Amino acid sequence: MNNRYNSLPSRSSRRQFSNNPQGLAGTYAGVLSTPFIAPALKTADTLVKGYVRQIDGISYKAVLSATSIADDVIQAGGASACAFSDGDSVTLSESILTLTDLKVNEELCRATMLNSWQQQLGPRNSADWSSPEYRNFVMGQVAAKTAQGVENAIWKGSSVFANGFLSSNGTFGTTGFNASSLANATTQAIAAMTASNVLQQIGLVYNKAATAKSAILSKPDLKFFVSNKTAALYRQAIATAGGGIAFDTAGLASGVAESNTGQGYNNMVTNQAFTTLNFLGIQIAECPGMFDDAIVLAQSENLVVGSNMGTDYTQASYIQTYLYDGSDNVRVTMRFGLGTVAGIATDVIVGKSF
Amino acid sequence: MFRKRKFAEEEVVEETTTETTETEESTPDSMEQFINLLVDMGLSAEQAEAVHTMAMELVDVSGGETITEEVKEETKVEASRQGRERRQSPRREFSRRGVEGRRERFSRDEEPTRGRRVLSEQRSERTSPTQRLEVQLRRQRREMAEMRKQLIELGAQPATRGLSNAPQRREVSGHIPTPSAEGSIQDRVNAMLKNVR
Repeated sequence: MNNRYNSLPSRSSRRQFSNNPQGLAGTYAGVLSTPFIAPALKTADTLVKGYVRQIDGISYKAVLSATSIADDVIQAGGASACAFSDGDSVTLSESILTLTDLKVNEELCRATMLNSWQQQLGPRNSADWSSPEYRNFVMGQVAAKTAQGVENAIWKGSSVFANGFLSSNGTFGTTGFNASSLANATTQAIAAMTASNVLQQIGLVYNKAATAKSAILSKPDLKFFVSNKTAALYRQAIATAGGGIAFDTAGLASGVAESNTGQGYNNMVTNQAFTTLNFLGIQIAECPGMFDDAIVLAQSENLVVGSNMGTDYTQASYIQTYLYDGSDNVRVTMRFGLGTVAGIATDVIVGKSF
Repeated sequence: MFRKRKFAEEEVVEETTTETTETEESTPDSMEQFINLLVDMGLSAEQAEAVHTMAMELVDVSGGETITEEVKEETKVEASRQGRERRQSPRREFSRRGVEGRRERFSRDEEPTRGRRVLSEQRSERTSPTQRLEVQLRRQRREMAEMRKQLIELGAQPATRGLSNAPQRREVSGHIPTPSAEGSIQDRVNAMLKNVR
């Protein structure tokens, strides 16, 4: 029936114009934005590998309750202890995770994206500018860059996200650290790391945990959090280490670099791959967003990253500005909230070099 | 014809019975019953009173309209019955001849008319504001009981759910996709957006 009243001849309506400009529904708010916001918020290395605890669905703040029970919770009983005597051994504490509202506003020229888009499609496909696939391609480019920003933000903080684990301003110094989420953590002074001394520096942090917070050493989700550079130095060190020279009591106490040339781990020197790194049974988590000369020893449960994903406060837009302003541009916007907090900050050991 | 009329009379009798039952249910302590019911469902006394106050306000705002409509409908049904009988009466007159037959017919027709008058008086009494509220409350009570049964059958008992200590945290609605940990960030993003339409 529709064809009967169609002014266009049927042959022309059969043709599929690949570049025919059409408007896409471009704004996705609330849960509808999840497919576009999730790649930006969830694909950072620290998050996607589950190194920290993640809480979504926070609209503004979340209260994390923690219970600590002292060792003297058990009292003497018997006939002489019929009365109730409050042990006062259970302490409730809480930490508050507050989100910071963030946004992404990017304008991209389609001509600039053309080569990459064509290569991704392959030679036998036409490049339809108004297809959902192209929209996903553009959104994906922005989301990937946003994810890298999220990785850096949750560890280093920045001028717009003053809520990183180790800093509030993007710099690993006294000012930034004192305003960070781990400002109340147990600290250990370490030196700037090289392949020669990295084992000693990590050992110093481990030693601090053994002396000050030994209870956390038995936790299954305890991890060392280090940067890519520190992890690389550690690989070099264990590939050339030999029989207890690199890690001994003297090294721990002084932190002085020692000669560690040897046959390396498994006597294979550098001819091996280290898929997972460990230090005395504790996993070393490689976080690209970490500062280079910093080591964090903490439980995954204790480091919390929150977002407002899944709520009505997230939004993603793909705006085809070329349709109405004569340009060749599209705009991508995202709005979301992000925050970090430590459940019990004092149970975290931070090795810092300042 | 006689059968139909008899059927109509039976209907009227049934309606009267129902109304009598409803009048018996309307006791002065309906507020207490309502509150007790809510307390049984797990609410505190203060919350139950608040709910009752809200319900009463709702009834004040929108309760009268429903009743009025129902009365109108019933009146319409009665009017149609009357019309039907009026329409039937000339036929009867033609079908049966003789003065005595007509007198019998008229005497029979008067009886249900009296019954209708009594009924309409009863209904006008029922539409007083207090009775309307009581009817509305009974209806809401029945609906709440039915909903409660349904919830229990479904295994959901909202009154037993604990209060959240983080009210600002909302239930995450919708499925949040889990990205793969393999590859670069761009690879993970592309994989997540691959099938988004």
